[in-house]
Amino acid sequence: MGSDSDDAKEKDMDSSREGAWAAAGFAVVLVIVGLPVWWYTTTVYRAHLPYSTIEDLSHQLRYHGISLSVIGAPSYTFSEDLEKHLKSSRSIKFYVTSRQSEKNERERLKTALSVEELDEKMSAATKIVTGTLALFILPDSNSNILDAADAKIVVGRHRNVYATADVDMPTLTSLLKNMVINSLANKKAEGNKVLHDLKGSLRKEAMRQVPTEPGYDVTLTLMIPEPHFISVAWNARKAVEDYLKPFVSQLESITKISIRSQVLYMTALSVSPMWSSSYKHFALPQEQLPLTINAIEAKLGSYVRTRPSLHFVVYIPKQDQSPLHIHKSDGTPVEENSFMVPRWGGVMIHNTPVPEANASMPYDVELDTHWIMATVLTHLQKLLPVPHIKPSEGVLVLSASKSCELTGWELDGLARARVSSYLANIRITLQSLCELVGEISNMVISDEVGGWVWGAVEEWGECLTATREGRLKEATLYCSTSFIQADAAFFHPSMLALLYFPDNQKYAIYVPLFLPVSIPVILSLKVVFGLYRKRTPIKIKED
Amino acid sequence: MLLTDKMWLTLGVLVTIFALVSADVEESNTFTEELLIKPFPSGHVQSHFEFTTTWRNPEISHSIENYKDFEFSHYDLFPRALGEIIEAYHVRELHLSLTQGLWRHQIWGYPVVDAPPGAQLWVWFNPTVDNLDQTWKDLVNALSGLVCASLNFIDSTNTVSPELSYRPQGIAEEWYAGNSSLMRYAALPRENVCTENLTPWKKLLPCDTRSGLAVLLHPAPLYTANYHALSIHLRPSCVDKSCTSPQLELVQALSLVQNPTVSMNGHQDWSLYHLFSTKLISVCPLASMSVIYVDITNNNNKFSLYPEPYKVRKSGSGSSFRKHAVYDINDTPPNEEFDLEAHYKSRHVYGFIPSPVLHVSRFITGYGQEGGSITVKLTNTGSEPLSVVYLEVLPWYLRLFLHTSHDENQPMYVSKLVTALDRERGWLYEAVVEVQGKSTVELSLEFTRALLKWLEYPPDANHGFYIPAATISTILPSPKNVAVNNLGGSTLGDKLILEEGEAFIRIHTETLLVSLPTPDFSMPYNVICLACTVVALAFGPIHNITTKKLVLKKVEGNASPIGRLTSKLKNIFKRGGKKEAEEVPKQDPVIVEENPLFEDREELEDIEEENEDVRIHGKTGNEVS
Repeated sequence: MGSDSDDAKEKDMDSSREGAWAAAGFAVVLVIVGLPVWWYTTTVYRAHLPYSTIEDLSHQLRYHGISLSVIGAPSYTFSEDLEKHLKSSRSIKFYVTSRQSEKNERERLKTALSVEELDEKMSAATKIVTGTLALFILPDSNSNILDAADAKIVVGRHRNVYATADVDMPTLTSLLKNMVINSLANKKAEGNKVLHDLKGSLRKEAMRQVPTEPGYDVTLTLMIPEPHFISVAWNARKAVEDYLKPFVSQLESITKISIRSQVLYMTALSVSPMWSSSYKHFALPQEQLPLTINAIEAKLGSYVRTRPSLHFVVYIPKQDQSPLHIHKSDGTPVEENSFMVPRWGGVMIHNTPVPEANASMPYDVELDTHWIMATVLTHLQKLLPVPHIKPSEGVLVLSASKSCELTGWELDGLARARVSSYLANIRITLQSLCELVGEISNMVISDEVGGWVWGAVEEWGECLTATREGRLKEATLYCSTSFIQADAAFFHPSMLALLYFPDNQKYAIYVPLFLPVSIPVILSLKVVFGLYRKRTPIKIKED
Repeated sequence: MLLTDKMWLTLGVLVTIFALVSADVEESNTFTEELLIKPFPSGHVQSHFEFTTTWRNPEISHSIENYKDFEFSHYDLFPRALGEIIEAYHVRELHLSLTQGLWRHQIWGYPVVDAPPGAQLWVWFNPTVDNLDQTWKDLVNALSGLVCASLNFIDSTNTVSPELSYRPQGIAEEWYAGNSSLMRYAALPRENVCTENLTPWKKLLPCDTRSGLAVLLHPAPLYTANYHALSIHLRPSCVDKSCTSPQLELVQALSLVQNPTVSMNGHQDWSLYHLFSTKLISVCPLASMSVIYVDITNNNNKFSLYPEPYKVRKSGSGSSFRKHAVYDINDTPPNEEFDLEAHYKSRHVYGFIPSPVLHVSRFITGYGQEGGSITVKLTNTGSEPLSVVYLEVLPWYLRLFLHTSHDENQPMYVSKLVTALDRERGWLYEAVVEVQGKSTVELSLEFTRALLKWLEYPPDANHGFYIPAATISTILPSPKNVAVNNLGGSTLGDKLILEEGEAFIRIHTETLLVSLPTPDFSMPYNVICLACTVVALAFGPIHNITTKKLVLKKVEGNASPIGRLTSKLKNIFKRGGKKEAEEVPKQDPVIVEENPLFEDREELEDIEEENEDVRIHGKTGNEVS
């Protein structure tokens, strides 16, 4: 019986080994063919993204390098002292160089009779490039010019600052810092958290500034709610040419602004003013202002442009509401009779003379172009982060030769603020892109999006270096291209293609297919392993 | 061939060459509003509103003369929302219509502007455009935002560039008007028109709906009308007859056909209040002209108007004779409501209405789900032969057979044919057909229906697929039944004065509904389930056969039911103390290994158990074996 059963055992062992091989074969086919096919057909395509570079760049220091040349410093200690005072800021780094004034500069200094003349002559003599500043220390013999203007420090029209040798150092340094960049814009770029910590009025001011984008659409809207009473002759074309064109062409290298104008008839602001008998006009309380523009928003949109738009509305009040004046919360009229809407634009209320009782309708009205355009410019400058120097004693700030233009240092400051904001935006965009890709497994990254990201990262790095080295023009260029690319990648429609494909649908398809196949295979594998384990004790026994 | 290319070049084209006197053009904006009311012999009343904005300045003249893109920067009366679209997408001429209902040419004659049911858009672009297909796509999307219509469904499959049917309506030179590659035409027959389209359309008017004739446009009576067409037409036109300087002209038209006879006790009486639920209160102060015309050509003392017409204007003679009562709203006493009423002396008599010279009907023939035929019947009731351009734009899922479309005896030729490409391009079939006087020509295009992919079916696929209307253009020998035949004028008043002689008309046929073979849409899920079941069913046995061996077992018959029960109980007990159980197979592992690949451990254990039982029983009871 023993040998017989051994034979049978042997036979059984063979056949069971065969079965085991078959089971293993199924498993192998499933693993070698099935898994790759499944993986290949269900995997989400992802182009390679530069995660580590993005991480590196977002931790790099961001500061603006500004070279400041001190010309004609009275002593070595002066410039050293200045440098020490300028060091405190985290986001601005001054590179101070010092030299003696040249002969022709001294000569020009002597001949200048007024501050304006001095500035003109000096800026003609020394070319100060974009993104840098020059500080002229006037020798005592010439300081009488400044004394005549009743100032210790004079800020020139270009990129020059004039001071006497006995200038108060903290005043000078804080002035220089304010000239270089709009402090609020700088804070804004550091992130929302910093912004929320700001105090009431400052925060309001910071929130007012328009988001930094490569271009803006400015629309001037003249609102005439009652064209049957008033016919307005206003040459918008000429007004734009005269007042806004110089400003726009000055900003050309920093941001593109396109200007349109339109007339809206039969549309009124939704206001309900009250008659103020003390001022003999209709009073529009300040609290009502936020609601005024809702009524016209529907008529201001564009179906073509996607750039942020700024609206400036000139409103001619209705006959039964004019003259109309905006009142402050304490009940006194606002002098400018206009208000700004944060990140949106501004509204000006233009009162027209009351017609005589028997005048024929509609009567002609001329608009005060100068007032309108000056207000538009002020609003526009406030909406953009142009650096601003608070008036203080002993400081004279020369404004640009044409009232509608910006001075050299203002332009530089604006460019710097925009670069800061761009850098912050790029960092946030790319970081959140990386985060999203990590979080959402269904997100497709096509080669096109990958290309945008790689491009954005490259330009971003260039921009950071250029900013630190103070090459402002290049920084603006690199940053804006990087910003555009990062945005294009983040908002690419292909990213959302599979986002809404829920997991339960996946299982609904996989389960009926995989469950009946994989369960027998896995169970048989278990037995195969069991067999493998049991074969060893048999051998021992036979030995 | 009867038709020369030359003749077709003038088809609908206003003035091909204009004498250019580069005079200093001053900036000028005008806005006019007009309303034409025309009672039909069928008892219906048509009201046609036209709001025309013209704009002229040196830049615009320059752009029109040199076929350059418009550059607008300072808008006055012209709507900025539309202006920005025009300049951004290189548009020279644009015609958009949104229509509900069908204009019945046979009883209503020819309208001022004909429009097919649904949405229709045709645009002439400037030669400056680089990538026209992309520009068209962008334009269509911008426009669908502007008028809140689903124009974004216009894509390459329903866009065509016909050669003859849609020539520019504004100023165009011959080389431009003949270059159909610069134009795009598309129609969406399924598009519904409603208040959501009317509101943005009204926003384009300088006075909005606060004053002027637009006050009459209340949605409720508008959308209960038998026919309702909303349209926007932009074209470069001439300032005056001699055409010395060009201007940009935007016409916003709204056409209504209502049937007051039903509600007025059999009288065709109508009034502004009855038609529009409101009276005229004020005049748009920006309009240089606010006029209501009432067509009284066929009045013959059937009805009287109240108030009396301020002016009666007669024009033309013979078939071009028209008589209009003219009401200039500016002449009405201010601050007074204005209503216009028509009183009929007797009840309306429904009788035979003579058909206009050319009328068309189109229908689907065939049965079943496989093939069919689109048949069009062109009837010429006049005595002179007519040359008719017949344009058919069909979706790719109808597969046409062109060899049967040509009748040997029929004088016709195909002026443009674009064959369809699946999912990429639709059919364009444009033919010139000669219709003899007092005869009917029947053309048919046979087709079979394609099967779509299951994702390509629209929601409610069993409703069927709409086939856009065909376009019929021709030049009639006389302006009988024609509403307008001169395109030179900028205002409706000018256009209503008919020219003697030939009249160009472009009319549209009915839209068609074709049902394609529609699958059961739960099919994919069923297929998945079925396929999975089959796989599971097939795989299980195959796996079992290949990995397991069936071994024949001797079953000892003498085991009593009680013995089995005790062994089962023992089994349960044994599971409790596993260590004991494991010792048993070690003593004799062969038995366990006999069938090692049993899927079910429990079964395996059962067998072990049984074997053990047999062994024990064998030892005790059956010593013989």
